[in-house]
Amino acid sequence: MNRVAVVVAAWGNPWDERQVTARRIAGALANKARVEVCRVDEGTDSRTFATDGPFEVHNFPGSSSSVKRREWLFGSFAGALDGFDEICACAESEMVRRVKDLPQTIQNEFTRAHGGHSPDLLEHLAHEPYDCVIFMDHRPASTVEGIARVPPSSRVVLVPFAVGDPLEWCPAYDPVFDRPDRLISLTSEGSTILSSRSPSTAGRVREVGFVQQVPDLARRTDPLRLEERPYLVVSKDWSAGNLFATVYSLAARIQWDFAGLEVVAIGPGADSLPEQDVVKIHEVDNQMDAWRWVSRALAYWDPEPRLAIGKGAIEAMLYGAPLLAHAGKGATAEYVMEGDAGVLYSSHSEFREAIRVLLDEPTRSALGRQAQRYALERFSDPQSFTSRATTAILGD
Amino acid sequence: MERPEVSSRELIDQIRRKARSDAEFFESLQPIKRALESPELSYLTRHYKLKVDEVPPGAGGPVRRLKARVKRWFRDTTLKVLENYLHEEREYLSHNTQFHVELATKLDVLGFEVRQMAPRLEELRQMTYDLELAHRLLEERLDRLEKTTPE
Repeated sequence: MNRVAVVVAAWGNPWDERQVTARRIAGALANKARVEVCRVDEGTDSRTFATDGPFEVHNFPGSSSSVKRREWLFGSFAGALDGFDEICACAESEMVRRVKDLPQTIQNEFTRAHGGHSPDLLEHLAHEPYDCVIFMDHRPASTVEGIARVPPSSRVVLVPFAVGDPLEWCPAYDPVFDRPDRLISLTSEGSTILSSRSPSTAGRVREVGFVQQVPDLARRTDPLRLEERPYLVVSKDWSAGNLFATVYSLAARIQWDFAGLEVVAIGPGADSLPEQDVVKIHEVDNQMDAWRWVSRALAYWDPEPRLAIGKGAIEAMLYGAPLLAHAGKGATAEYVMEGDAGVLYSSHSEFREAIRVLLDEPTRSALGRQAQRYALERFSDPQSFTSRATTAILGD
Repeated sequence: MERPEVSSRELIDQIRRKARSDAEFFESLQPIKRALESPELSYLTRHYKLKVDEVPPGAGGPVRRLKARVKRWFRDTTLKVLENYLHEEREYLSHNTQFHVELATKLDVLGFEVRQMAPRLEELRQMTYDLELAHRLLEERLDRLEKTTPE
């Protein structure tokens, strides 16, 4: 049996789609290989070991990082924050130029600010004879520093979550994309972005898709504090970024036009969002409650333009909720276009018009039905996903 | 492949067309704004048929003064609406990222971005329409007044 390492900067948070993907891929491989999850734990001083279902989990001590530090670093040296909601072509090319010119010290700092820096992990990767080492996400130090330490005899696979972000052009990532035998993408757009990165990447990209299922119980039981009025729902881990300003800004623009419509923000960390009268906030820390809200929504609003998977959007589609998504690069926009699963916007005016479209009940119902059909066809077959993932990662 | 009941692509095209028509409307306001900013107000005079210059000499000083006041009111109000609109757009861009605004300003594309995003244009359109309507009603009353004003 193959011995496989899955290297992650974080593990186990069901609200983080990168961590969920890591678990899905590790789970698929566990059918054919012995899977060891190598995780950097910023909260520990010494190396520990645990089991999690079919996986052995090695926890390596790591230096701490934070979202704020990352934003500060990039804000200081490259001139903008990641997670911005709109960007014109001129700003994007300017950002790519600045990113390519970052001094080496800053590149190192920036890589470590994404978490995953652990000398113990690097030592482990250099000496353990794994048949295959899979790195999740191209950005954290566990990947950037770890990929260089894997012995040449081991197969290396990268699941990069590339979404066309200017930051992907940081020179620190060049070796990260050059070394792997396989680059795994989860969506068609991800494949296109990876293939166009350089002539050498094109032949190594394999698309494996994603798998997601939702329980019917959420549809049959009401969430707490549910009101009669129709609502758009935004579901995410609010402690992981600064997206609320965008949600508030857009919601404030439409509140007088569509008086009967509410915007509801749910997810962990929602309690820390600012109090205001525009967006209703519900702290929801378990997935079932989130699904209850999502399953009854007029539409699922995804304001984040650069998601690699759009797990929340997939769940909403499985419940038959149409999508209202930012037209930027990202998985949700791909689902809308491929599955006729909703509508996109790229400006305030288009956002307003998109809502007008969704408030037309026959149109909304048809979009919801199409979204559900598309999600069931594309995301609800674990066998197919397992087969694609094991073939792509362990060998054709 | 089965044809969808509703096509997202067509809906998005429809949304963009509508949003673009707002942007085009804004574009059409630009000459008015420029004219309003000019001291002569010749554009306004020509387009809104104030006919201030056509009032015969001695045809009633009070009427001419009233017309001038209406003209000023119309100019000030319309300018205020436009300025509020532009201010809000800049605020949005500023929130968006300060960097983006700086870059956009440098590249002189701020105006382009403003038109692209064009929020609250429907409201602006309505306000401008209301203003124009109010202006026309006043103009009619003034015309009637002019006809009945003794020399």
